[in-house]
Amino acid sequence: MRLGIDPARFVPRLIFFLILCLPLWVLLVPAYHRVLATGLTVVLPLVGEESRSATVWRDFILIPFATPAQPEARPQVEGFRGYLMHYNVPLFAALILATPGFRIAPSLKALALGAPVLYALHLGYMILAMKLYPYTRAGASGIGGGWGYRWGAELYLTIVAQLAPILLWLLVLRSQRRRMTAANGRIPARRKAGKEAAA
Amino acid sequence: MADGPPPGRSGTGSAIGIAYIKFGALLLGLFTLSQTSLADRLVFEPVARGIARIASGLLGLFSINAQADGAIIRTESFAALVDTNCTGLFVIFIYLSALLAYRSGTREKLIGVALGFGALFVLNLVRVVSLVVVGAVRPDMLNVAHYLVWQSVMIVAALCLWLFWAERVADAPGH
Repeated sequence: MRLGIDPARFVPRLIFFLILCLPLWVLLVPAYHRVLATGLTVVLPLVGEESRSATVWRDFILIPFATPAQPEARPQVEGFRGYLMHYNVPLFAALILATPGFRIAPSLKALALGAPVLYALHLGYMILAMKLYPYTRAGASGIGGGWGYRWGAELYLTIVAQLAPILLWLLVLRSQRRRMTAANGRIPARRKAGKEAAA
Repeated sequence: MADGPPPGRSGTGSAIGIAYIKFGALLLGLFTLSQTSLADRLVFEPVARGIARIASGLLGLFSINAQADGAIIRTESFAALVDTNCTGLFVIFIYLSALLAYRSGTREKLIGVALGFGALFVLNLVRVVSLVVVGAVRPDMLNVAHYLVWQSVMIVAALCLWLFWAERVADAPGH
C-alpha cells in the first residue's frame, strides 16, 4: 500500500514549485478565463442553451440570461468566481514538477494530459451549476432541485476542486511506476538473453 | 490517496481499489453529513464562532484591534465572516478519509488523527488571521490570497501531512 515517496525530499520541492506556479498562474488567469468563456460558448448550445454565451468580467465568468421580455427589466447573469474553480491547475503542475524521479518529457506529457481534464471539470461544473440553479431560484427541492444544486456545487467547491489534482497526480504516479517496473523487468531479461546467445 | 507497490503481486491491485472505494465512500458520507442543518448547528457554527474568537485575539498580536461578533471578525476597516468553508473542516474530512482508508493499525490511525487535526486547525487559524490582515492592509490582494493561495496551501498541507503519516508512521520500519 506504500506510495513510495520520501516526504523529506518531496515536500520542499512541492513548496518550491507551488511558490513558482502560483504567481505564474495569476499572470495566466485572464487568458485562461477567456479560454473558459470560449469553451462555454461552444458547449452551451449543445446543452440546450442556444441563446446564451459566456463572457469574462474581472475574475468572474459570466453567463447572461437571454434578454428579458420587458425592455426595462434588468439583465440577469450567472457568475462563477474563477479562482474558486481553477486554483487546482497550478497545484497539479506543482505536484507533477515536484515528484522526484519524474523526467522532463514525461512531466510535460502528464501536464498536457492533465490540464484538459481539469479544464473539462471546470466547464462541467459551470454547466451543471447553471442548469440546476434555476430550480433553486424557483424554490424547488429534492435531488433535482435546490438540494441537488447546493450539494453538487458545494461538493465541487469544497472537495472535488481540491482533490482532482491530487487524484490525477496519483494516476500519473502509478502509471509512471508501472512503466518503470516494466522497463526494469525488460533489462535483466535482455541481458539474460544476450548471455545465452553468447554461450 | 493510497497507492501501492509495483503491480504484479497478488491482491495488490484489489487492495488499492478497496482503499480508493473506502476513501470515496468515507468522504462522500462525511460531506453529506456536513450538509445537514444538524451538522451546521452542532459542528460548523460553533467551530466558526470559536475560530472567529481565537483569531480576533491573535490579531491583537499584530496591533490590530479586532472583535468577534458571532462568526464575524470586525476590525476598524474590515469585516470578515468565518463561514462553513473557512472552518477548515472540509480539508480535515479529506485528510481523515485518506487516513481511515489507508491500511494501518488503530494506534497509527490515532496518531494520524491527532497530528492532522492539530496541524490543520492551527494552519486554518493562521489562514483566517492572515486573510483579515490582508483584507485590512491590501484589500486588492484579498481574492488572490483567499481563493488561490490559501486554498492551495490547505490541501497541500493535508497531502503532506498524510504523506508524512503514511510513510513515517503507518509504514514505519517495524510495523
